[in-house]
Amino acid sequence: MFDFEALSFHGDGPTYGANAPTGTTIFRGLGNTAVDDVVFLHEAHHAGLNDSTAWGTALHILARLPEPARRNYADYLDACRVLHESYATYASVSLAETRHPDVEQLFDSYATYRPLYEAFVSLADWAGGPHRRYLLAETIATVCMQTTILDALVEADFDLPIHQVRRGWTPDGRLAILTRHAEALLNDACAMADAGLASELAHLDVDGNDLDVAVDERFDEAWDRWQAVVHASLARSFDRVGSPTLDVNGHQEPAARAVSAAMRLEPKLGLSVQRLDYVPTDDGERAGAVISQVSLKLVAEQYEARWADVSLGDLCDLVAETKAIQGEAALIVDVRRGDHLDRSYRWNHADRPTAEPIVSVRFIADDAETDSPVMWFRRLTNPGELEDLIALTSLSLSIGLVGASTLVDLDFQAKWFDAFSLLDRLVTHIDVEIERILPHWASQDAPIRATYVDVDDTTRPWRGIVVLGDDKDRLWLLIADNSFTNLAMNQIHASLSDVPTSTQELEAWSTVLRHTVTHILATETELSLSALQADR
Amino acid sequence: MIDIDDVLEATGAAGTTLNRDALARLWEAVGNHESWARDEFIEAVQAICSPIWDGDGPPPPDQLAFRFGRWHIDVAETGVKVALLTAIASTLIVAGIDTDLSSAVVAGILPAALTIRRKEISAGDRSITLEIRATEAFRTGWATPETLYESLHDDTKRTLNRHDFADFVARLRELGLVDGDDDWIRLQPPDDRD
Repeated sequence: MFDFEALSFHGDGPTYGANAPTGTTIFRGLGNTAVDDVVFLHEAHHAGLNDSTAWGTALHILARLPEPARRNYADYLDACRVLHESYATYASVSLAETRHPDVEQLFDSYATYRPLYEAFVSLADWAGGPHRRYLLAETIATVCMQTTILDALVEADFDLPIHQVRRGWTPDGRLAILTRHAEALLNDACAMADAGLASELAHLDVDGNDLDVAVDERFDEAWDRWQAVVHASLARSFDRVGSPTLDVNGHQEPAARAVSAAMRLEPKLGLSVQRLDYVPTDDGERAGAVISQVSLKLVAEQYEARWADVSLGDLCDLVAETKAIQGEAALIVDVRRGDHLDRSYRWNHADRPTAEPIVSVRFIADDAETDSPVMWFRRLTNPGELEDLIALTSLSLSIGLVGASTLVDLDFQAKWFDAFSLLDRLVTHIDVEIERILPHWASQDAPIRATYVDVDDTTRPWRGIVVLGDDKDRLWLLIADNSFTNLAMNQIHASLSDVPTSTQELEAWSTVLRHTVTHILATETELSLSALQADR
Repeated sequence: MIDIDDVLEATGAAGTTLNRDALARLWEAVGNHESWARDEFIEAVQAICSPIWDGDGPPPPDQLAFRFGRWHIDVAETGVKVALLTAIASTLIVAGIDTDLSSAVVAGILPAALTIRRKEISAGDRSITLEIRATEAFRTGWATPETLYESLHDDTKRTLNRHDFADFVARLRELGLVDGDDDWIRLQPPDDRD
């Protein structure tokens, strides 16, 4: 029935990323960490800029509305494309440069971004040291996007073609004004901001060249005020040419009005006012806001998925044949939300899973007729089937790989609890935003232990975070890339006071980890924290 | 209209293929030395000169993407030489008058509103001077700003604000390009450059 093939990753080639209001997608290349970091940071800055500004909110809304409003989306995106790309390139390369000094070499391959980068360098250079330059770049991007477009869109019922918006009111038009008059506008703004904080930042060297000192959180409030002064100064300049600017975070009330109005046109807008109102207040929340929007693609094209109609006995044989790693095989039982499976694979309409958690054993095999790879799911419809499977298997290791997104369904957990406990080990795959899990981790008797694990993959360097708590038989696992896991670990440390590492404890999990990580990378189509995000 | 071959020869461009670096050198020869003007010129070229992409190709219209690759133009392709000249002239105009419009947008306006000619060209110092004036119909009042706007290509009108266009026309008028006599306005004469 099945024509098995060795598992391999698809889409080998240069890393690239893409951002749309509905999420960020990253296809990883062949292991150039500097490029991977830049692409991740680049897309994260797109997402952050859209989430924190009026024009970005407009994009969020227009992308989700039906026609005729929807047809304006691409034009509104085009009206901020130069700003977005320049800022995201500058910010990502600047940050990556701290770890990869020769990162600018990437422009040899990603050539179209060099002029965009250089354009923003010439603007940011009006500030002093590296931290000021980054903050100025962020402020320029924000000011340019913080227009009064949302109220105009509401007034027009969102049918406001871009030609009805003056160019000086668009982000790219405002950037052009800034660029053409950079010396006059930016010099003044930075001088004013520096003067206002001269006493508070006097103990930093004059340009803030010591980045480690400059980014110390003790100075966060001072730098916030520095940015606020620059923002206000540039806003006044735009006011003088008739292009009004909202305050920092001044888009929140217009955003709430716009979302309410948009929901009258599209009740299933998929945007909440809370999300648009949400302003991260510390580094942990900022990190969480970024990674919750990122999806790391494992395959260029989603696998076709089918339900496998095989007996439990045959299933045991298939698993033993396909899951061997270094001569060992393990039975891995997946527990995933059905709607997440529906989004992750290509299903025939009649086969599409519904939202509830699904327990299955899955494996990839070529379709005998088409020779194309198919992800087969042998569904276990009740706990008794799982118990029978565990009794039947000859394998010495059984693992339950439970999506954290399924833990919210308490009835399901209660129904399957006894059967799951028959499995040798339980691994909770972190597929939801970390802030959803933090309260659970914070309530443990002993501090959780969070440890990086490097994934030794021959083509791409993935990395995991393993979290251990009170339950010695359960492990929490996040698999992503370096940038993603760095931010995730930052979020964990920023949110919980004491998070030691524990490599010693992990030794007992090494075989389980090897099997589960391999299984995840081979059978998932993407790595993200979006399993509970219905609009993704 | 001037012959772009003269421009290419004067600026030392060899062959028919021009990548971004070659275009930057071209701009350094004919335009001003502001980096933003060079960037706008290249942006205008990308917009109107049928760029040929390698790598992952152009950014998709509905996404912000970080993609591998680059583009170049081939002036041997039909229409590219004229488009390249239009990009040069557009950027010279944007750099020479106070307008909110980008070079790429002005490129869409040029044929309707302005006539361009080469005044002089020097292979020795690799510089050219362009002169512009309003089109005959515009200067004689046969075409009003409103009719000019309506005469623009739909793609241009789709993104060009009517009031921004009116402001642009007003600037041309202030410069004497509309109400003046037969004089041409010289853009970026070589003697004035750094």
